[in-house]
Amino acid sequence: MLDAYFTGSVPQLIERSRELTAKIPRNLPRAYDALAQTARSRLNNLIAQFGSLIEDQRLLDKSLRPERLRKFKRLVSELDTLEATAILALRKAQDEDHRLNDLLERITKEIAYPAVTPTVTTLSRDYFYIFPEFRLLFVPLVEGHFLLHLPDLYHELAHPILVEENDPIIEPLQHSFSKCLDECISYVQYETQKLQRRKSPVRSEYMLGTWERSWIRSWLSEFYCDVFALITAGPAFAWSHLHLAIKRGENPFVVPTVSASSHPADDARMRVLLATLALLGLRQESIDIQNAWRCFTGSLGVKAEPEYFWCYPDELLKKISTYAVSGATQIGVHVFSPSEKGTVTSVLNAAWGQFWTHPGSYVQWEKKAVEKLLEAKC
Amino acid sequence: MSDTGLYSGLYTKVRDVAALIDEVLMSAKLGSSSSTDSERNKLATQLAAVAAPTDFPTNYFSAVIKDMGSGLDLKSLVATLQTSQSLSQAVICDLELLASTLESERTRMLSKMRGR
Repeated sequence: MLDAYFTGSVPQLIERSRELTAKIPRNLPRAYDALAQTARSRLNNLIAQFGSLIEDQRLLDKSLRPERLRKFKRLVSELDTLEATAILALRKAQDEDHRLNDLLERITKEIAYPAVTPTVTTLSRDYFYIFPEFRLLFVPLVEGHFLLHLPDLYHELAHPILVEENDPIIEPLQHSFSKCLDECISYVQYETQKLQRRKSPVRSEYMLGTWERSWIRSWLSEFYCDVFALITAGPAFAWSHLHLAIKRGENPFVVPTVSASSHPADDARMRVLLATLALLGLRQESIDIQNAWRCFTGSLGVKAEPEYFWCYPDELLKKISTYAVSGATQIGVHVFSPSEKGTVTSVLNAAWGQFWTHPGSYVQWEKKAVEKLLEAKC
Repeated sequence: MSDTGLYSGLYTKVRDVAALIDEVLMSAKLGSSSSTDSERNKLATQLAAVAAPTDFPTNYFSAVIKDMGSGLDLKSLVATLQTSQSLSQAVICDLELLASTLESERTRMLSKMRGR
């Protein structure tokens, strides 16, 4: 059955890959060249790999059926992902995307971003996210018309840096990440040992195991991306975090008890941002943001349980801030200065200033500022 | 707030190592594996990095393997891959376990990336 299935479906998948190659537009601005080339080369590679599923004589051996099936599934997943991300983004690219690509190019130059500038697409279905493999950054359809969430672009820029391989320029940040992760794991393991000595309930030990998995799998990378964004975008990123938490956040003190969570608690993220603002010497901004955050969390009707402070102790969060600042500055990114003028970052920070000082007229101000930022440059 | 960015960078790594393990398994099962195979050496290098993680992807891998709960001795597996001329049935079993674990992890990550 399996041989017949592959004989029928593989040529169809090869044809699908060829069709997708034909769908790559030929008339896009240069900002899309890298993405188009990546897509084209991945499709060619997929065509060769699909072919090997029916041409490689070794794979006809019955003992290799699991390997052959797993390979088939991996290739289909890659084709699906390519079609739904890179090819779709290229196919649907329009003026809105072009303007955001110009903006991101300016941002990466301003902050001395040490990697290839990603391509932006406005096809996001879920806020901001990035596919490091294709260097493709998704933002919501009309996000380019507004300023207050744009500091999250800087957070997304950090994700590819953490997984980039064999780049000595970027390695200091990755090494600091690794040392910091050791600190996080050591903390959880020390707490676990204390529990074991006290013969505490197994449930608590299980919960600590969940925290350890969360730190390793995702939490620390989120904290690092936050600190990278704060260093490069300034206080505007912390305001943006507050903005997102008010609009879409859940309980900011949530702690996972059963299965690992992908994102750390919003309040813990803000505590790291506040510690980083203090490290950067932006004390007044830190006070203003902390007051606004306390007002927000105090209005939610929820409070932090003891487990929250156990999971995210102050000392550990401050260490994360210190390690991440050290790593980011070692890779040479431009650190935000309140005195800078004429940069995208300065406009994003000015937007938050305007939002708080003149909330009633902010929308009108923002329209003009966006027009100036995207069309006429700063 | 999305899981996509978080997982998509690591997904590539998981997928590529999974492909490497399958290549080594194929040679081992067909009795054509040797310590000079480039795939075997690449896999040994990757697994050695996971055994002593120094960055985000290798730490992630290390956690995935730890979660297998099989007590797999990664350092011993690396040494076998580097030095043994042929791979024993026990080593093939270890590699099969790794392959199926990574396949589960790959599909789990893919679901997260697609917002499911």
